[in-house]
Amino acid sequence: MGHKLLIAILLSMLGVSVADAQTCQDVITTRQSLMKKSGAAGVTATAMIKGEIPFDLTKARAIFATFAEDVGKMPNLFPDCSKHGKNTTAAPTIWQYPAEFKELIAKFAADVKAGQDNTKDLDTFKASIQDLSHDCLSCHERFRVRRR
Amino acid sequence: MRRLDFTLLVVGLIVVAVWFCTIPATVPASALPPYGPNLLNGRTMFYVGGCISCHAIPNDEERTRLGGGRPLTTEFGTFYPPNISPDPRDGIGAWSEADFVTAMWKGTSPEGRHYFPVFPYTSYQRMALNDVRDLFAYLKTLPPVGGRVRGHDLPFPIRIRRLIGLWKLLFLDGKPFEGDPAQSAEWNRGSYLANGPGHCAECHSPRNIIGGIVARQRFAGGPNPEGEGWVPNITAEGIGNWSQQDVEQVLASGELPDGDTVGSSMVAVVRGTSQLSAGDRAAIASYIKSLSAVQGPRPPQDKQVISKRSYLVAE
Repeated sequence: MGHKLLIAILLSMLGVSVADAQTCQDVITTRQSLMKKSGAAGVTATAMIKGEIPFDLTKARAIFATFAEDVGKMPNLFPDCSKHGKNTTAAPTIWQYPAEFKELIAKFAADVKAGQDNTKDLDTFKASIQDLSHDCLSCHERFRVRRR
Repeated sequence: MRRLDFTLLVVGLIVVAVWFCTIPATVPASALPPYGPNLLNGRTMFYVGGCISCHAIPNDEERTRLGGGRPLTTEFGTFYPPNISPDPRDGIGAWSEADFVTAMWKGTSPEGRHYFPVFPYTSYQRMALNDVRDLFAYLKTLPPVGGRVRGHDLPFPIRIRRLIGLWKLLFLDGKPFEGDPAQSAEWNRGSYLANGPGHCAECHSPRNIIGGIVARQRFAGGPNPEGEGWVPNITAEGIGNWSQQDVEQVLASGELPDGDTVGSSMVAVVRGTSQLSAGDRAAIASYIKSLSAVQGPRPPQDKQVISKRSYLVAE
């Protein structure tokens, strides 16, 4: 009986681990697609600022909403088990300097909130997007590594 | 015995020849005609030259305090960029103009020692004399910072500076910038900025086993010389589907055409190029966009998705 129980426990642990491994790979896919969505939103923002497409407050709000979704999920998207796989470009520094990484995420979140609160017209939109653009760069400078 | 004498003679001659071939070159003060520096141009040289990238104090908000010290981890060892602020004791405040030109063109320190080529004098040697003098004048306007940086951490025999003299025979040709009269003035300006002060090829090219740029794969990308990751190919092979405006945008704000941004050390480069005139950025972009496709080394395959089995073993 004891043996069977032990095997059952081991099997369930194995099951959990397999599920975790799967989740960890899924989490990489999730953060990659969030980054892609934010990038696409950034392209629209730049086009509006350059005057290639007319400024539109509804579109501007949608852009901030995309960033807000991204940054809201970000803190939970870098578990220890997601350092490798799926061509991730997350740098090892994320796990070496977690406090600094969290600080940059918090700054991004605060700037997204400020953008949502302050954007009334093209000028205020432009100012907010410039702050956010600097946030993207600071984080990619320290915590992203190019693989190709 | 006569055979031994002969061997000793040959070895002796080789030692003497190497000694003479590796004497650090200098530029004498007499080579510098009277000149009134242009600080505005010096500022341009400063920002395209990327001095800040290596010589700013790590994590210092004030990026123009050039106290140095940011470790550069390379496959040859760890380099600690020196203080190049105008502090007379610890920086370059007591340097003569000839000392500075010598450093930039010849890679030789005021004490007459070779600098390691991690200081990109292989590119800076192409700079026009007046641009170097303007840069020196501009650096003198920045805040002085006290304190010397620790020495480099290099294994034997790489740490023997004299050997850099042999390296220079191979990779420091001493030639000034050569334009192409068949190309536009904008293209020539861009080629000068990219190949001289901008030293783009220093990171965007693969290097051979002794750290020299592989000439035929110039600008074709390669392993990051400062550590992990890959520096992208910026010939048409890598960015052929970008427009010139796309390249200008990268240099102005770090935004890539797909909405991603540059990362790693390119962020510091963009902090510099964002300070240039739109005309200079357009010139660099025009030159970069003219680079015909060259296949660089292939990046290693990424670590494949870790199999469940290996994941469990690792756990």
